[in-house]
Amino acid sequence: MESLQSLQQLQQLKQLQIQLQQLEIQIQLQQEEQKKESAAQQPQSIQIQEQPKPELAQSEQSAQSEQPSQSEQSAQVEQSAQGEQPSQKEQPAQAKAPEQQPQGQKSQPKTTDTAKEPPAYLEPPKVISTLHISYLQNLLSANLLAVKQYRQAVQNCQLPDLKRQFEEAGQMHLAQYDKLLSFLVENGGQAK
Amino acid sequence: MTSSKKIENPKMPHSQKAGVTDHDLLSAALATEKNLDIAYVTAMHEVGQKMFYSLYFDLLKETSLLHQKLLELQFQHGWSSLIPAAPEEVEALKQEYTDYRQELK
Repeated sequence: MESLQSLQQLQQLKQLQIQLQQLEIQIQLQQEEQKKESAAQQPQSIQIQEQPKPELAQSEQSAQSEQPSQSEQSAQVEQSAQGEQPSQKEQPAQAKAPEQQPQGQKSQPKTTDTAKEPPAYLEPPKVISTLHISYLQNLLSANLLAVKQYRQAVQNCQLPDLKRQFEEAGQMHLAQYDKLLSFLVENGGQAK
Repeated sequence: MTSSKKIENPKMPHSQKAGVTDHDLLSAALATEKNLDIAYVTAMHEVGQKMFYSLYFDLLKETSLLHQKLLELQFQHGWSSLIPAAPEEVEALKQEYTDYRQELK
């Protein structure tokens, strides 16, 4: 009986040690995150953080599952069987923990590089992005087609008020086309 | 229950020619302006820079004003009509949404 209890206590101690190690890793990662400012490194840290969280949940569940069954003698046998399961879970957790450390170590030299990078932009810069190019192309094509359409409508139209309106519309779309094109010329091609 | 009385201008005589008529030209112009409006609105909401937003907003205002003028022309020539809603319908809608407004107090 006493040996079984001591075994259980040892197992609990081991689990607590693993949790402590994982918490230490989390604290290290959080400290690194605070140093990091660029958005490119954040997804890496988020991925690293997501790995220990399910492990913590597994270790917590195994600890909770063991605690209510301590009072029963028949459950003690099951605990020894359950003790094997968390020990098996401990091994992949321990295997993942050293893996996380080199990843954390690999990310450490990048913090020095982030300190040299320029500060984050307060507002988007005045450049045309790759996403924007497709919208500009669509608008320029639409305006070009509209101009041609209205010119042809002016030739074919009989009613004078419609003709006048189509002329104005054609001129308006030509002006819009020129405006969009001038923006493209002024603000495009500034990628460094 | 809606009123059957249409509000419209006398229609232009329909051309017997099979070619593109003035009505067709106006319909095409309306469709063009509508598509351009949608394109401007989409670009406006996808872009993060203020100067592009203001540019697209100005162009959108021009095209939507033109669209409005074309709609007026369509109505003037009798190619579009509208049917006024019955007073009972309007009153019922007004009462319903006045009650909803009370909930927000």
